[in-house]
Amino acid sequence: MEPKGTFLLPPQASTIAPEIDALYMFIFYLSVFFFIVITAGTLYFAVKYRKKEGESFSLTSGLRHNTKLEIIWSVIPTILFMIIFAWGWKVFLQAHAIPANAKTIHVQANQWAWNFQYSTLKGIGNSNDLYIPVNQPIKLSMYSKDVIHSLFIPDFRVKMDALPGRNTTLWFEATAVGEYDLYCTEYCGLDHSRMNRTVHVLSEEDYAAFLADVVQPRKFDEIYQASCRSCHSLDGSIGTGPTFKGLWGRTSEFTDGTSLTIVGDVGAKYIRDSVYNPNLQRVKGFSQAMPTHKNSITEEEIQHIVDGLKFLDQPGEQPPSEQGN
Amino acid sequence: MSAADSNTNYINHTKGIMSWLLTVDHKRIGLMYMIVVLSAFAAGGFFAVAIRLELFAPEMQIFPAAPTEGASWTYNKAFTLHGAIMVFLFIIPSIPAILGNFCLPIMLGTKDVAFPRLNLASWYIYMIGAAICLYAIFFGNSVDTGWTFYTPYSTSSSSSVTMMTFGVFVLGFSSILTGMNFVVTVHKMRAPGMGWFEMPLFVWGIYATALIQILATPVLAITLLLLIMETTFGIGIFDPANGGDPVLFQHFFWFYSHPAVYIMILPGMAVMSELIAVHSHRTIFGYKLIAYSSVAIAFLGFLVWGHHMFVSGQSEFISLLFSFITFLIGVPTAIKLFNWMTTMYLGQISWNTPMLYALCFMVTFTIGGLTGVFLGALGMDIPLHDTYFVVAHFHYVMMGGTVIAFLGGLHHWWPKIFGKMYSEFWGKIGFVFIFLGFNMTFFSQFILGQQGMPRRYADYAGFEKTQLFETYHQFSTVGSLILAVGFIIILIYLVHSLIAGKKAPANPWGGLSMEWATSSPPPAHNFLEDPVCKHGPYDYDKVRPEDI
Repeated sequence: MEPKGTFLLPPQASTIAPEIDALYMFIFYLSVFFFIVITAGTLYFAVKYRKKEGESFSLTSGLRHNTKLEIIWSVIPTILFMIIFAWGWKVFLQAHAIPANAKTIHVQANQWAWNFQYSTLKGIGNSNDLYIPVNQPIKLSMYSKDVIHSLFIPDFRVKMDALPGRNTTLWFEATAVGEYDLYCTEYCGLDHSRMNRTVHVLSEEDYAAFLADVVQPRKFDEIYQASCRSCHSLDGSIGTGPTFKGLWGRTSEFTDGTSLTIVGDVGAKYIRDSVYNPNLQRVKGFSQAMPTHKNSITEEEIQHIVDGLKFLDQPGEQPPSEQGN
Repeated sequence: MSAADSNTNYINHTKGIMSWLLTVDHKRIGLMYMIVVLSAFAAGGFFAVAIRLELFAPEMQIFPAAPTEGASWTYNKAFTLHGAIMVFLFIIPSIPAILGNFCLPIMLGTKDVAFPRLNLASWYIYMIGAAICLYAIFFGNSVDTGWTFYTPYSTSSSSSVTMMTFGVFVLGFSSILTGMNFVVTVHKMRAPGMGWFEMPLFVWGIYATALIQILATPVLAITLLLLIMETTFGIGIFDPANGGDPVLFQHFFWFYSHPAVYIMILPGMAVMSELIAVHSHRTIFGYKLIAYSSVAIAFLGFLVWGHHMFVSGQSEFISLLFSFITFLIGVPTAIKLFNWMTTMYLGQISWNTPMLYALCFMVTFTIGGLTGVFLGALGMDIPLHDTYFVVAHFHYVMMGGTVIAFLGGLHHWWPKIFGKMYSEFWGKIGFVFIFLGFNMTFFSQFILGQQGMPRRYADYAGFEKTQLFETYHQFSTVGSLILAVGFIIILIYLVHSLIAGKKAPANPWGGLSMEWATSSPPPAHNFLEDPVCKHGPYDYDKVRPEDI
């Protein structure tokens, strides 16, 4: 059920919105009160002490001071201002204290588009609209590729500039499934007013389905950079683990005395086993250091690893002397 | 010191265009400012109406979506020029350069400002700065950066940013020199018998303003120079691609531009004190508090620039300090409003055109001030920042405050300046148009902003909120047209008064400050005999107007 806005304020669709709106209403009622005091007082005096038509100027009151009155109208506003200041600070902190369980979405802004990047165990996905699950703290980690932009979702009451050369963050927790406007609110040139998008707040199931749809399995290079690089080299040098160079087609000898030539279906199965259960067969001369990657590399991505290793070993890509090492 | 009845005055004692262009008379210089500054206001107003017409409906109405060969104008250029012209060419020089130049020396009972030639030089510097800006607009590629010139957009924009900022750089010197002139005049040229607390509050306000002009404007000059160095020589100061910091520009810019907000509003408050006291025919309540709060506002105004940057990524602690000082500044502002209100108590209030503008100020400036409380509260600023709420807020302060006070002051001193009375009837009609038009135009924008409408948007089609926004935008546009008609009415009856207006007496409002003691218009040297200050400017409990 999408929340409704009022005459004064837009719908409240995040956890921070009611907090900010409470402060809004407090200042609003105070403002109305003081506006009435000043306007009514001014008009009352203007009418009451109006100079009559044709009346000549006379000497008027010499009232120049009233210490009591002046103290009252200095101290009361000061106290009220301090209350509003403190309240504003409290809400500001709430808006800035990112909960530990917030899920991160990376935001890249450029003239005149938004790019939202979702990282999951299955890989990375991108979208131009923002998709988020309901009732889940979300942290946006933002930067800009060119000029300054600002991300603003009125119904969430959140806003933060996206800067070039610097990361800024912003968090919120949406409370109602629905679609909401997202605007760029830092003037950024010609199509500034077209740099707006929709925030889709989805139920948990719909969000899972969205992620499954948008997130693409990573290619070999990305997986290698994320998970393999620190132990397995591509250039033949020995690291914590054997090099990937020439792995496809190589005959490996294991600590249990068996050996295997890594080709065909058998080779693919060996690679899958090595990723998910690395200590089942350990190559001679290497320590038992590799953890399982069951939770960080998907079955689909295993296929990409196998393809990637084959590609590494294509004739012409490597000097013949290294073949079959 | 009675009003001199003479047919020669500062307007007709010498003749010919050169007697004006080479004049060192502060009154003539004030009039020369009036012509050019009000022309700038008309130009800024023209862009304002264009903006409002464009926003009347979603999709593009009168501007092209993108510049083409034949039509290089875009909405973005229009709002930039509206802002830049109104701020740099109109509102900063408006009250100080026009009314300040004309009235300040007379109110102090002196012949001229301290440095009359420098005063003329300021006018020429203003004209050169304005000419450079015009050149950038019409012969260059104009500007589309917003009046704030935020980097790195301004350094990457293909428009004539360098030329335009150079123009603003030059204009700054006019402001600095005028401020210096006024400070020295106030310190050294007061009539015999006039101590600091016998000065009219108008003088106090202009004095506080002049201090800010001298101290803050050089920072703008430095900032714009750095910007010009970056765009021209590629020195990395603000551009992160060259190792600069884009937020640094915002700090520099607001370090000037926030005090500049007080350069704009303090003169408005200064005029208000005159309007309320003279037309209520009542001594001002809390004279010293009003005078001191002008200076307090001028000082604190230097320490709040970061409240423009609560969502810029600056540290939370810095934001905390800026928010705190922002609230401190609210106190002297509130005190002034209460003082003006109490000044009317037991007065003898004339409901003439200048007083109507003063009453209007009490309403509109109060709204402007109170809505500033929303924006100063840290958490509250997050959803409101850079929306139409901010646009409405600063128009209520700048226009509902300064421009309304300027109109009041213009009507208040018009008989003194030109020696002619305008039509009181048409004055009131014009006021009604201005009051209704102004509030229609800008009150609707508070709602727009609260509902989320970002500022500087050429178009608002295709949003979830498009329909909601359209209603308020239409209301606002209709208001702006009523406002425009109001200004045209004022222009017509004021010009008409010059040709066919009744001759103004020396003291049409029964004022007690020194400008009312000389003839209307004043003689070339302001007074026929050197005046002596014998009573306070607001001693309506002791002195009758006919006795000054």
